[in-house]
Amino acid sequence: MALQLTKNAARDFSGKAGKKVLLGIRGANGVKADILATHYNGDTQSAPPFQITLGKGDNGLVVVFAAAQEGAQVFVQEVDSADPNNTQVLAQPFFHASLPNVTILIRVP
Amino acid sequence: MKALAIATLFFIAALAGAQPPTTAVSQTLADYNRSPDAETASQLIEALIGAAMEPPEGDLNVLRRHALKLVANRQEGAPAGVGAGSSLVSLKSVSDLISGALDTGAFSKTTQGTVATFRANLVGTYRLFTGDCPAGAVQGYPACITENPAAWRGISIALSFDSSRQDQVSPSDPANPSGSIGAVLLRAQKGLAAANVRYEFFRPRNKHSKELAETWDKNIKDLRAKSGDYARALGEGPSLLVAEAIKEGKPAELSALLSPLPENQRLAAAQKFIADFLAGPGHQLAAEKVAAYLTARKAFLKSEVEFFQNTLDRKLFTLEFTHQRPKDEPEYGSVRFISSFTVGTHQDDQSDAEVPDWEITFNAAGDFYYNSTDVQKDRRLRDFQVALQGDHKLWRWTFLSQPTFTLAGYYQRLTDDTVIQFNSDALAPGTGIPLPKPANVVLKGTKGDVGIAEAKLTIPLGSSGVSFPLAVSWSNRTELLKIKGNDVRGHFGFQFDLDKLLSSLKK
Repeated sequence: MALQLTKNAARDFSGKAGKKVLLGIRGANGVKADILATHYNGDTQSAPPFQITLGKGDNGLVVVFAAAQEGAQVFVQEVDSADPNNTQVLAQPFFHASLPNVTILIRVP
Repeated sequence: MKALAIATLFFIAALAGAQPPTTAVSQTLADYNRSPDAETASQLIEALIGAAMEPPEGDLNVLRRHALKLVANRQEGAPAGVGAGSSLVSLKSVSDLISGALDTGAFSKTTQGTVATFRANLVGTYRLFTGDCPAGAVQGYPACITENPAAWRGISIALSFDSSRQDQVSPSDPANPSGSIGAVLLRAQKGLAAANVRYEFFRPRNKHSKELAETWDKNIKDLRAKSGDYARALGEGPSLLVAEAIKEGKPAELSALLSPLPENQRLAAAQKFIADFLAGPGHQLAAEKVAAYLTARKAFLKSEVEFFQNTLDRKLFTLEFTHQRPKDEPEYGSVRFISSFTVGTHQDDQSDAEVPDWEITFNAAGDFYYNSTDVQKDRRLRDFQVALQGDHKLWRWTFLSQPTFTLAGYYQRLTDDTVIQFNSDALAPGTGIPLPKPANVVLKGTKGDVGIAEAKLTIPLGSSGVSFPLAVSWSNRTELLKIKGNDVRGHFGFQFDLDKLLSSLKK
């Protein structure tokens, strides 16, 4: 398995319908971070593994996360399910307890 | 497309930058300025949506009303040993209460029998009277969560009032209880039964420690279980708008707003833009979803705060001082040490989280008289006590709601015979004879050991706020009365959590 998403010039992502995308997260400078829940194309997940199946159209992927330090930067990643070391960063938001989420636009033709 | 999106983002950044309307907006704006891209912009737009929908910051009356509306009975009992209070053990409280203060208000109130206890902490009190959070709060109003480790964070106070205290007439001749000649009026110490100051000692965990990682992993499952609704509400509400905004750019509407505006009108303009956007073709459903999002957000933030407090802080122990004002004894003070810990863990079926088998609370306390006239043999120590309580949720129970089983034990050593006090400061009824000032009398033979044990099953009736406690208690004597043999009693009744009851009535 390889990475399924392709980064577009507009900083959104593209992929093929039906492909599965495994999500992960890490905090900068070793700060502890975890995904809490995701919502994509009508499907909500609140337990790992956080894996979405790409659906047709332009859909927002919501990732709710937590980090052990207010203001810490985190990296929301796509993880290759066959090789956990093969990753790509989908978003790199800063963690704020009052708004602990990010939306990533995925376009699937 | 990219140009339009970036124009949108710059506009919103400029808009918010003029005067950050909320903590979330100022934070996300700072993030955006540090790293201006689609992710930080998305967060900024979501923060603006939140700001547009929530009560305007700065309107203190609105905020106070909001805070008062949120006040709830999230209860901790009266300090142990107060009046008709039923607690053998003082339970941990301040951290729960600070969590409670997050979303519930400055004060909490509980009633045990005829004793009503009001408890307050400093964050909640500050918030209630100023309508704002203390400086440095990392989470805005009304949660007002602070990572400030300053000493004031651990303080709370409580006042207990006993409504059962009534003056009593003691007839001189028991055979003639209505006779007024020689009768004595015993005036009860009305009102305040106890005043309590409590301080909790915390130690923040090292954010890179193995200990934090272990606690984090243990607690995160529970938070995840409560995050799904928030993610769904986000996805169906603001994030939908974010995706639309990124796709559409909304250039026409934005260009009208790009003209210079007075600083104080910029937030209003942003709010109008969002409101117009929501009201636009195809966005009506989104408006409802945004409202649903705000409800889900409030619930999620409460769980999130509890998670961080349980994960980042380690509560070491609690010390409390209670000024006791018994009905018929001299006033005295209590100093109490409280510690709580858990034993064993199991997997919760509903949340899949690891939860403790038993929650244990340990107390050690000493009571002492203030006044040397109240003591015998120059010994001010009235008594000392130790108590232990274990609470176990019967998680395998599948009928109705899961009950909690409690075992509690209490030992008290009375170092001397107890002193009782007659507070007679009136005239004997029907005589006009002034009664002597408060007098102390030693109750002979009361020195010794007091032991109490209790087993209790508390069965909640759904989420109605009503519970049904069943208890059996054993004691060898009471403080003021020695009895032959042992005293074994059964208790049952109904407990009401008025806040929950009222909440369910409002639905």
